Amino acid sequence: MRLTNFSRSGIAPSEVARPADDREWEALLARAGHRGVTVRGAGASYGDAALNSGGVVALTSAARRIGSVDAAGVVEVDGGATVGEVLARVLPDGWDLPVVPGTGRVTVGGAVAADVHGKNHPARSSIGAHIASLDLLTPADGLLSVSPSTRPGTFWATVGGLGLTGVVRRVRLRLERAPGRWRSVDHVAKNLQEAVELLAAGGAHAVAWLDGHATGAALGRGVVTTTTAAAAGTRPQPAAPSDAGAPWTLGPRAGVRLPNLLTPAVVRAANAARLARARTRGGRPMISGGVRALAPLDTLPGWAALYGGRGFLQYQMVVPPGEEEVLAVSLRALQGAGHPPSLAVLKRLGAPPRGRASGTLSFPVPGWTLALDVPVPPAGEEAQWLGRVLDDLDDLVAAAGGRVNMVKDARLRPELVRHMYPGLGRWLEERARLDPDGVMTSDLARRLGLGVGAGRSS
Amino acid sequence: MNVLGQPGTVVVVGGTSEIARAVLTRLLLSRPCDVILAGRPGPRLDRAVRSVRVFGAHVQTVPVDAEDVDHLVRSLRSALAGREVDVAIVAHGVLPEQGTVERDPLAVARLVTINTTAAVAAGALLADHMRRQGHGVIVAMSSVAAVRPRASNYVYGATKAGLDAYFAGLGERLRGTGVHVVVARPGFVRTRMTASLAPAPLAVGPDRVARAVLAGLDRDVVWVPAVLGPLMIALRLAPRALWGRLDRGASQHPLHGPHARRPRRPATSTGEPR
Repeated sequence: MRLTNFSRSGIAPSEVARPADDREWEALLARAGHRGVTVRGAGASYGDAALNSGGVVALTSAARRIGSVDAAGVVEVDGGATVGEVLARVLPDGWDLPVVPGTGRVTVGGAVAADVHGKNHPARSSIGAHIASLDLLTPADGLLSVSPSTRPGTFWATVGGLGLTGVVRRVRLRLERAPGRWRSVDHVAKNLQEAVELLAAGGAHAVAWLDGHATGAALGRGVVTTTTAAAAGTRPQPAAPSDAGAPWTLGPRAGVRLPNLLTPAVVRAANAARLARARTRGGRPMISGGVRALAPLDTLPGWAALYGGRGFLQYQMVVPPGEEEVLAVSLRALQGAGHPPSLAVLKRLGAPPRGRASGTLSFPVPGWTLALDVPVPPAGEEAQWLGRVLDDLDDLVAAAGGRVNMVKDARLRPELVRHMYPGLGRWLEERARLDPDGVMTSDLARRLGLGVGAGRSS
Repeated sequence: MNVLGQPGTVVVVGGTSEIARAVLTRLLLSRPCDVILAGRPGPRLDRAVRSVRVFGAHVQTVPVDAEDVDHLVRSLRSALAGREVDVAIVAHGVLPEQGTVERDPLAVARLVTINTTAAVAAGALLADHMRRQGHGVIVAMSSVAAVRPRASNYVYGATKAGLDAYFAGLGERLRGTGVHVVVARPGFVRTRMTASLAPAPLAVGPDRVARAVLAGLDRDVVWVPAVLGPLMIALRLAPRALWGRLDRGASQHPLHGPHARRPRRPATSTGEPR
């Protein structure tokens, strides 16, 4: 079967399996061939974390039970249940996930493998901080129950471990009480400097949408949205029609192969409209009701198809405080290369909660994270030049003490991973303990040298 | 190979071919990668290795001779074992002085061994390796000469026609496997191999071929220059008399007509005398 990724930039022929229970998973891992097994939840990775060319891809969709929330707010969920499904189950009872990624389509297992973060990282960290314990099926040691206190080495290698330590079968998530209402305010930022200042001052949830096409003095202008829990008693506004759910979908079975519709002209027009909308609201807050508004990436399912046959790639990096100049250089470099980002999102990332560790290979470190979506150019000089520009940006980010997010990545050089992730050596050791034969793999693992004795690849 | 066309490992059969070197140069300018150069050992191969190392790429040489197909296949197989190969270029070949070769049955047979047999054997090996990987691109250097035989060039043309049909068919066979085959059909390319010939109309340099190949990695056929595509398709249907006249017209050219200088030993794509 030919599987693809979220950004529709890669296609990998693989044999697809769907084990029904722990026993079938164990059997699958035991008989894995030389191309190994890749665990795949929703397949919502931007890059190749859930692809396995020439190998077996095992879907986790057979297990999607969601338990009931206990008095302490802990709920046990199967690895194959999606974040959206969990929210749909727990929100009506007044519980909420402390960390929600940009799309509800990801499975809980995938969320753990990516150690997803949301717009509230400085306050709430990533999902790894809210896991009471998880059940991990490993090739070497079978089914293990791990937590920050039980086998912490294995736990923190699995959080953000890209699915390479074993199969996340069940997760016990710690929920929190949901606020009745959310209060969002949009502020227009004239440039990157202002966006950074507004984010620094921001509330519980804060995100900056930046105009990737704006140059010169307006570089990095955009809209900063800060959201806080509203006081009880504030009346929500009627939901806009778009909040009711997407009326149509561009899912993979839509069968229509579009050319790239997100041309620079279209993107510039959309950016202008976004800015205009924010200016018109003039900073008036919007109150939304009990159900959190649809995650931004889910407003139009299948929107990646708008990028056409070649898809797009996302470059997400984080740089420590004080290195904000790297953000400006990234925007200018891509614009100068003729590939202005069609989407640019800036957020703040914080430190892990006091006294807690974080995923050994997890992306978030304190600082500024900029995520840039760029359409994949036609093959040849254009694509290779963009590759060169991004390689140079990697060097800049690494030199600044930052890193590139491997969950979103499709083109990072393996040499950079060791430079950007000081925990790599420790992580590889733990992985070799849990999976000495290198059964757990993926195209990403081979490409970035995360395999156990895997051959080098791009 | 990643989504931006940057490979991790490139294999070249015909390590001293100028076209292959131009392709490598362009790839390495984008990002240094691992290179496996299979070619005839000697100063030219050493020079090719040095020019690749200049980019910071890691190079492994595989000494082979296209006349010894058994040894070539064995050496290539062991060089590829356990490696993830993203792009492979089959670029070796000999352009003979047809007058000296065509009357010698063994020389003709040797030419077929070098240009066709060795190429398809390498192709079969690479295809099998890449199929098990579930990804990869094979670039086969064919030629416009493969499209329709000309009296002045039919031996070379025939060897390229065999290579062309094999790789085109291989590409069909590999659909859906994640492995892609590109058949490149350049016209006259200004290299060591064609140094003694007058450049035909629409002649290009090796870098032009490299750029066309890299821009066409997702296509099945790449003509260089592109106009040769429709041109050759039309000429393939031209009446024999016209085709013969066009060919004779070319061979009356002062540089390789009856008053040409004395026959020289045939040139190879690797540039070494045979």
